[in-house]
This record gives sequence, C-alpha cells and structure tokens, in this order.
Amino acid sequence: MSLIDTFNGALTLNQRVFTEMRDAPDGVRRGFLIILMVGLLVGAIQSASALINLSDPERIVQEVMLSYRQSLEQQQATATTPQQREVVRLLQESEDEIAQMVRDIIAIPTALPRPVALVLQALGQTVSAPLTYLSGMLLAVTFTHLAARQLGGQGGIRAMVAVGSLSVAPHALDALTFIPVLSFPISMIAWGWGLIILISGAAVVHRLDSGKATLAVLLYPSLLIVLGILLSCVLGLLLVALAASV
Amino acid sequence: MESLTYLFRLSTAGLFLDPNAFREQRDNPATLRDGFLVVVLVGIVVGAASIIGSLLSTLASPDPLAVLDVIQRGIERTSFFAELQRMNPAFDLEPFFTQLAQIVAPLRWSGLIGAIATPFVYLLSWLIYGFVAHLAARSLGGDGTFAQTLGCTALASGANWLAVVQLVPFAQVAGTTLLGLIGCYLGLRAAHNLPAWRAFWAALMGPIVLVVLLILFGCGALAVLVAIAQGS
Repeated sequence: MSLIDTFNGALTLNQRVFTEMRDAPDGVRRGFLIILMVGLLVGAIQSASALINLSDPERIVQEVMLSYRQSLEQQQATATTPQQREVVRLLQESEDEIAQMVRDIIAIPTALPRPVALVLQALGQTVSAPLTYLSGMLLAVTFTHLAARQLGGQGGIRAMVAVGSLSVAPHALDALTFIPVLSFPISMIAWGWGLIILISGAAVVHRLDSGKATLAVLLYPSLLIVLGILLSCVLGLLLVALAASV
Repeated sequence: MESLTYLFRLSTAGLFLDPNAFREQRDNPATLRDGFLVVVLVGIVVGAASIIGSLLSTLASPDPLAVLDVIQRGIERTSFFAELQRMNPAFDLEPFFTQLAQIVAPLRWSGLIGAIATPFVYLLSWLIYGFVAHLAARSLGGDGTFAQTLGCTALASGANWLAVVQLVPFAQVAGTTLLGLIGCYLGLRAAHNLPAWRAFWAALMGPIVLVVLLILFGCGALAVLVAIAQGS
C-alpha cells in the first residue's frame, strides 16, 4: 500500500489500513514517513507565513509593542497600590523608547546577511515540526498502550507506535492555521479527528471493543488532569494558610 | 564501508523498533562490539551535525553582547529608569549588565562544546543505563548476559538519529528520549526473555533511579545552602 493510500485510509478510518499497519514488519517506518510528510507540509507553510511576517521589521516592532501594551493593561488591572499604578504609568510612558530598543535589536548586523538568517530560521522551524508531532504521538501512544494492557489488551508497543502514527494524519489541517480566524477551529478539528483515529487504532492493535479503547486513550490524560486540579487546590490552600499565618 | 553500512542498518532497525533486529543482536556473538560501534557512529554523526548547526546559528544570530548593550542603552532612555535615578542618584545599570555579559560571553560556545562532547555523552549514558537496566532485569528474573543487555540497548540509541536535524540551525529536537526508552524496553525484553510488564519496569528503573538521585542531590544541595545561609 502506498503512503498516500495509507494516509487516506487513516483519515477515513479504514479498518483494513489499521490492520495492515499493525501486522506490517515495516509499519513503524511507514508511520514515521506519514509524520514526516505531515510535519514538513505544516512546518513549511507555517514557516513561510512567519517568514513573510519577519521580512518587515516594522511589523515585528508592532507585534512586540502589542504584547507589551496587553501585558501592561493586565498589570494595570491587577495593580492594587498607588506605587504599583505609578510603575505601570511610567512603563506606559516608556513605550516609544521600548519600540526604539526593539528596532535597534533588529538592526544589529549578523555575520550572515539578514535574508539568509531568516531563511535558516524558517528552515529550522520546518524541520522541527515533524519531531514535535512525533514526540506528541509517542507520549499519547505510550500512555494509551499502558492503559490498554491494563484493560486486557494483547497488542505490542511496536504495532501501537505504527498504528498510532496514523493519528498524526489529520494534523495536515494545521497547515491552514496561519489563517487567523480559522486557527482555533481547525486545530480542534485536527485534534479531535486524531483522537478518534487513536481510539480506532488502539481497538485494532489490542483487539479491544470501542468502549475499552476509548477508556484506554482517555484514562491517563483524565487522571493527569484530575491530579493537576487536586494539586493546584492543595497548593492554593497551602498558600492561603501561609498568608493567613503571616 | 560494508561494516559502516551494516552498523547504519543496525541503528536504523533500532530507530524503527524492528523486533527481529533486537533478537539478532541478542544472538550476535559480537553483540557488545557492534553495540559500542553503533553508539559511537550515531554519536559522531549527531555531534558533527550539531557542530555545523551550531556554527551556522552563531553566524545567523546577532552578537549577544551587542544585544545586551542595546538593551542597556534602551532601558537607560526610559522614563522609568529616569524616575529610579531621581529617587536614587547612585542607581546604575552598568554593574548588572557587566555581570550579565560575563555570563553570556562563554555561553556563546556552549553549543559547540556540547556538540563535541556528544559521542562521549552517548557512550557514557549507554553504559550507565545498561548497567542499571541489567541489574533491574536480572533481579526481575531475566536471563541475559551483561554483553547482551548492552548490545540490545545500544540499538535503542538509533533513536538519536533524529537529532541529526540539528544540522539545520535553530532546529529543535524532540521525541528521542521516549523513542529511546521504547527501544530499550524492546531490547531488554529480547536480551532477557522477560514478559512485557517486567521488561517495562526494568527499562524504567534507570530513569527512576536518576530522578531519585536528582531529588536527593537537590535536597542535599538545598540543605547545604540553608546551613551556609544560617551560619553566615
């Protein structure tokens, strides 16, 4: 089966593709190739978009100043004493100097000409994207595999990595996240679609029913979220107790 | 050259988690030698890629000392700084930025030093991890020899091939640790004929010991600092 057929089969939740990836001796290699393909596509488009933004220094200055203003507005909203408000006012007055400082930093010469440096940055961003997807996929697959084995699954980790790689396929949609309004919905669709592929994959690899496969995928992330909430509650209580005792 | 091709094939089999390669490596009479060569080969290639990437990123980035200088002059122009100086005429940023420059200046070469050290770091971590994992596997009922443990876990260093992307400046490496750990799990399972869960715990024992040691070391260092602070 060709790479594109595997890619299409993953997107359409084709069970034959999942079974073939599970049993193929070169399943991991093919899975990694899909991640590479999706990652390079997304990385290239996103870095090209970033490159266009970075090519205009004044645009960078405007973006930095926007973040600076937003940060000061937040600090102003949380300032409780006259001294804090005075500091925020002085920082707001320094806006022009900060903008000039950003312009001066951008203007510092580099050994390589600026366009070459920008292209190298874009290249770095492009080749990093597949590894980011790979790392996220491996984490999800490891936790899913552990939970699936505890729930009575019989599959191996190699097959799980091979089939789990297919869950990266919908992230090809991330290539469109440079469109500001569509960024969040597209990311959510890709994430949800990937989750469904991972559930189907876990069911195929471990020969579990869909309920158990869903539980296997969601078990550890849910536990981590609950643990995180509990820990932050305990930390909050400790801080309140500490503040009360001072 | 054929030997290099063989070693390359062996390491990529580790990268792609090929279970047959792990089994063949267990039964290989020269398992330790081949494992050692795989780790060295991957280390040298990744180190060389990292040196090139590090040099290119240095050439493509502005001089950090010049950046610090611009930041200092920029802050000195702000009304916030003027107010601070009005309140305390002796207030000066120069000592702070001089100290910062002393820290930043040697950091420029840290990437290059790290890249040169890569093969040695890979070798050392392979030997230490292999030693801890072997003890854990044997205590969990494994029957492999120390050479088989090292030979099989060496294949897991094939995951470090991903770090070759450092050839491209500003590239970020991710996923090598987890992929390496999965490779080690398969390696220990093959070398010691262990059931899945026992191989899992044997593979995790190294990182667990490391985390415990780091926590103990951190607590010890904190206790020493507190004692020094109380003493002075």
